[in-house]
Amino acid sequence: MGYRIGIDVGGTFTDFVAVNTDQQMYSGKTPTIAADEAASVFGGLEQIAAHFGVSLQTLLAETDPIVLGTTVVTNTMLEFAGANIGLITTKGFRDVIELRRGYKESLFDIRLPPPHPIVERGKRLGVTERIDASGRIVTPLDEAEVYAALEHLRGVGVEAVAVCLLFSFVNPVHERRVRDIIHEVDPDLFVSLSSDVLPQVREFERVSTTVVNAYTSPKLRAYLEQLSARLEAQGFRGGLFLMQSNGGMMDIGFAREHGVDAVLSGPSGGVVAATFLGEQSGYKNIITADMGGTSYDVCLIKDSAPEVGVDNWISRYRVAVPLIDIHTIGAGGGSIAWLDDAGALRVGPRSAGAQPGPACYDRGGTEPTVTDADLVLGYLDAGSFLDGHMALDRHAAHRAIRQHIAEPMNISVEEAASGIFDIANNSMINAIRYVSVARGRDPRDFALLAFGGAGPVHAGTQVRDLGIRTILVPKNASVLSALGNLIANFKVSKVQSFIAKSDRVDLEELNGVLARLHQEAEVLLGDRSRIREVLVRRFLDIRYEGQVQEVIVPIQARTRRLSEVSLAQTLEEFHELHEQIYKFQRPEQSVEIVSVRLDMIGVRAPLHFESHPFEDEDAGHARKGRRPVYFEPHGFVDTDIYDGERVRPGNLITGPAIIEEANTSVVLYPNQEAMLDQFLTYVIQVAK
Amino acid sequence: MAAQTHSREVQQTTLDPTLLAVLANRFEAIVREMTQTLLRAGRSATISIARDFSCSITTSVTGQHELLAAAEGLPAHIYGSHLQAQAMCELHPDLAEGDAFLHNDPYLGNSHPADHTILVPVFCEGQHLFTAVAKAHLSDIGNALPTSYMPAARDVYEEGALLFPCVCVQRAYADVDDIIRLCRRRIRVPEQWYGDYLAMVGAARVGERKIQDLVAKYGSETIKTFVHEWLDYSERRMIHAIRQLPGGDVIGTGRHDPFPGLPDGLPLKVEIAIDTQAGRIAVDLRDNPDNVAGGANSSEACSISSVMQGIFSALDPDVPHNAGSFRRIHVKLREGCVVGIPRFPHSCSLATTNPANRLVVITQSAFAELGDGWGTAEGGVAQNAGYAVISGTDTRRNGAAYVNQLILGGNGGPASPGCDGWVTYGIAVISGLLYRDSVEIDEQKYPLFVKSEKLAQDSGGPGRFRGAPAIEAEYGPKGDPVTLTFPMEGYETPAKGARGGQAGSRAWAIKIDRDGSEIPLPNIFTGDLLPGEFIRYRDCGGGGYGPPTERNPEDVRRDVLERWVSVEQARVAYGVVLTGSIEDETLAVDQEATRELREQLGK
Repeated sequence: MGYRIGIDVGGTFTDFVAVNTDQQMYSGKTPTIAADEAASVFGGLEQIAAHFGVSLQTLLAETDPIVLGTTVVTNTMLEFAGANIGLITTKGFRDVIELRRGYKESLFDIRLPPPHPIVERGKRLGVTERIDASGRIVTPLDEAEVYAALEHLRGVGVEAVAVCLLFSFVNPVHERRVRDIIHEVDPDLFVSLSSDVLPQVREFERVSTTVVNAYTSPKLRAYLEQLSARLEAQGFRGGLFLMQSNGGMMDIGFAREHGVDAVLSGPSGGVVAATFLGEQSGYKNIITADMGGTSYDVCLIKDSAPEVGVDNWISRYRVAVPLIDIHTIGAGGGSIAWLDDAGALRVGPRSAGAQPGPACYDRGGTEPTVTDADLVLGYLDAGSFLDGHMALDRHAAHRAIRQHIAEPMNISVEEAASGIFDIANNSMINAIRYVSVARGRDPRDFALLAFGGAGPVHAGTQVRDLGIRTILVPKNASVLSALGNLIANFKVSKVQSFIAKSDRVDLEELNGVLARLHQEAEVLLGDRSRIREVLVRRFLDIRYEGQVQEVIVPIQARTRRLSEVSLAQTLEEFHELHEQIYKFQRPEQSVEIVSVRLDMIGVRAPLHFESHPFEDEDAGHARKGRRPVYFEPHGFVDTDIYDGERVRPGNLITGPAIIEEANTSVVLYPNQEAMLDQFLTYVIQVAK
Repeated sequence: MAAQTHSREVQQTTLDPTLLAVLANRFEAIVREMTQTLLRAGRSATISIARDFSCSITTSVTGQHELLAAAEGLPAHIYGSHLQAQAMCELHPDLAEGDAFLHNDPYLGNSHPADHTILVPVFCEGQHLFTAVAKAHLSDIGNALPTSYMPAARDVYEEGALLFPCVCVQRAYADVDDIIRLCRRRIRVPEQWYGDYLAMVGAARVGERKIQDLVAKYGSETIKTFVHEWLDYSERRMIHAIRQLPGGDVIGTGRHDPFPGLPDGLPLKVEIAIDTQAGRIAVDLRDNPDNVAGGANSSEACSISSVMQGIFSALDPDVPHNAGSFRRIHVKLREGCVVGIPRFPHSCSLATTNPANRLVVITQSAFAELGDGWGTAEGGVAQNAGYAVISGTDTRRNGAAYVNQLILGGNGGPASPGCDGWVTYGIAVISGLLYRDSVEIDEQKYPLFVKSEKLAQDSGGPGRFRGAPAIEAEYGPKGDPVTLTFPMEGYETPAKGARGGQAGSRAWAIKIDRDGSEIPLPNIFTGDLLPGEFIRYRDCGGGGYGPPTERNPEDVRRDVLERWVSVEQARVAYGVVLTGSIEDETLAVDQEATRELREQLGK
């Protein structure tokens, strides 16, 4: 017997999914043990072993691989608990990390403190050297200064050194020499070179990304090494992999040196699984919406490929490596509703989180939240929340909304709850518009895949505003990130600055860069034993001459080398994409290539999920009762409640209705109907 | 004459309060979409790197033109949008769907001539209900010299900008080619201008389409009700915010340094009367000098927006910034006043920077007079060589011409009652809203070599909260000569501290010759730098807030370790005596000696 296991250690719960060679799947959750991710992983493994009736040692001996999602990097950045690091940079430029892009998040907030310095100025040291924009060495590296800088940094106990020199993306020779010197002086010091992490123009983006890598990697490395030792001690001989923010997985040898590539490890797993499940049910264009207690994450998937972004910030630091483009807003079930000083109803950004939580949790929270509104409106059932493991206090929810909102506004509690619900939805709808409309995509061409505890509660009304016609709710939505880990392929993302005017591209040189990136990616991909097929996707970052924002354009070539024709086709595609995103194109204007990108994907043996035969359409057997539920504009409507456990593939449920699943409620509006498909995903059709 | 802002009886809402929030949110989201479009599609670095542009929506639903939504726009760009929309309607009674107007006339509501504005009237069910506004600072507008700032221009004729008094530039969604040709003929680097023009029109058209969709969805009657109620709501928020302030009258004073047309500098006065009972603030700028024969005259839009920016930074940042909250601020202006309504043909070339910067910081720090916990110190105002407009040709690109404004400078931000000043401040009117350049991109794009850019020790004004340090940097041409021009301020009058805080350091610029000799530069500089020559400059440090002897000695020690503050300044200004060494991080506060020294300094 053999097992494949995906585990996602989240902030509150650790989710896991295991599949054995008979394609039997088992998934579940266990509470995360604070500050000990390894223990949380073992908590999941023990439950898996118990389910399959084997010992932990037997399970581990027969498991290959384990793929992890982690919050180590995210938490390190949120808590500023990273390594003691130093920065070596070109003399005269140590303040680039402080000067940033020159931006302050809020013009009028005079009490907003500046960002926390993760590498203090005293540990940012300049060395004499200079390479110019063409890659020519203008001033040779002063090695004596490098040795002196190191002596100082070691004297103050740094554990890691980031190295970022100007124009190292054109010519990395000085950065590499600095690395060699560091290794010579202290082989144990962790070194992160900007020319490795992000060989691209823009010194702030590069230094910030490199510093985040140096700051987070030692912690990630310690965790992975400790976990891997503990797994091996228990007999594990398989491969251990980490989910990366680009939506692929990598072995821990790579991952432990690249903390910056794991900032969105967990959420990326969710998007990968959503992509897979959507495609399985016949939908290649999807917007995912993950609504949890404190945040709402959305991501757009086009043609079964999640959009990748390079514009991300984490804890006010720029992380410019390609990440699955997950747009997050601070709106969730815990978002607090309040009245401002002019008496207007507001929701968030303050959140009651899990502690004290919404008023209805009865854990000391007294302020009304979105979850309290959901309860008052009948979308949630006080008795069957979290599969009945947690009773909700309907009176507490009522009281909180009455005291804080309804009475001061002189409206009914139900009206107040409906207002909270609408305002929260509006913020979330704007988040969906942000990833679609604002980037030239029409949301009506997409299905909305809703997950997270509250996602399917709110999806039904969000789609009406956006004109979306299909909602997908996978039954195993609550372990989506772990499932994504199980499914994900290997993925290496490489980028290299390459600046050329489109009418004078040296094809030899361009093909040389592509070949080199290809070769480097192959090395990083490493062991091929788990890889069935290698896919390569190549892109050029292109802009109109003089513009600063680039469009990432897929290279239109099947051959390894680009030809005059395939280059011309790629450039033509640029104008089309530009028009799509920015509403105009200028085919007569010359364009320039800025960077070359290459994604190498190692496709793993696919998982086959069981396909269940359709049963009768009638879902009467799953109906478990009726209760009044609020539906705009009708008010409270006596509504059928279905037990998700008893709904069978092929069953059809017509709204208004609610399907209560173990970890969520699916709210069906009038003019919506849900059918559970053969892969256990609810496909909800929406009529206007 | 007084520029009256409108006021009417504040009523309670009748619209569903949820819908009010939803629609307000949607209008802000539309402005953000316009902003994204312009940012990404803009051709010049000023737009696409620095973000020196703003978008807004004004409404005519209330019977006059009022600012409705501004998202993250620059106050100097936005707060006068309604004046421009008003001009559009007055000049074009035959306004029609598909029109777009080019407006950069500071005598007709624009900020300054370098801010080209595209106005698109938005028609819904045949009625002109809104105007979508996209405004961007352009590096070249056809001035007499290759710069968008003309400090020495005695009038508009010397200034030389092409002025467009709200001219129709699109009809039925197609360009009026005469205007396009005119601009392409007279503006340097015409391709760059046209690219920026397209991006601005694109942004305004995005706004138009989205507003029309919104009105189609909710119906024009609902939207009209929304506009009234949203502005009323904003006004109520403003009343409440003003009532949190201690009442009273404060007078802020300051001085703009000597400048062309201003041999003795320009004393400025901002008289603020806060009526907490009525929830109103009146600002009087009339007691200031007359228009000057130079480029430093304010425009009406900038006179209003600068004091508004200062006032809003003294209030709850959550108050919506639109015509509703503006109703509670009465800015009294005088025609022919240097910080009032400019009298033609006085030049307003520098209206968005000088004296706007001074008005902003004077207003901000005046609020500190209300008591500890209010207002801020002054932030830096130097528009130094780091903000120079550079031009020339580049042999690496076959002699292609370029004109662009660098954003490599940076003044120290003001200390506030809650935190130290920000280094990501820029200048007062920017206050952290523009992006600075990437040195690597500048060196790729222009024949430049940037030697260093760093934060200068001891440049931030000492205080309980410290003003932010200034940037000190050095650059020069590489390969080709570079023409640069900059109108520096803040070389005599620094950013003042507040409530016992001290001033930040002053700005300066020097030229370094090929033989290494250093030549101090005048504050107004236009000239060529040759390869091998460099310019070194420092902007202003921000002012401190509260007495420096009240700063936590541990924070002073950290500042010394980080080299923000020298051991010397720690002792002299902060009264903190340190022992040990910076190098091995053994630096420690000598508590006893510090207590004694602080006692002495307090006497």
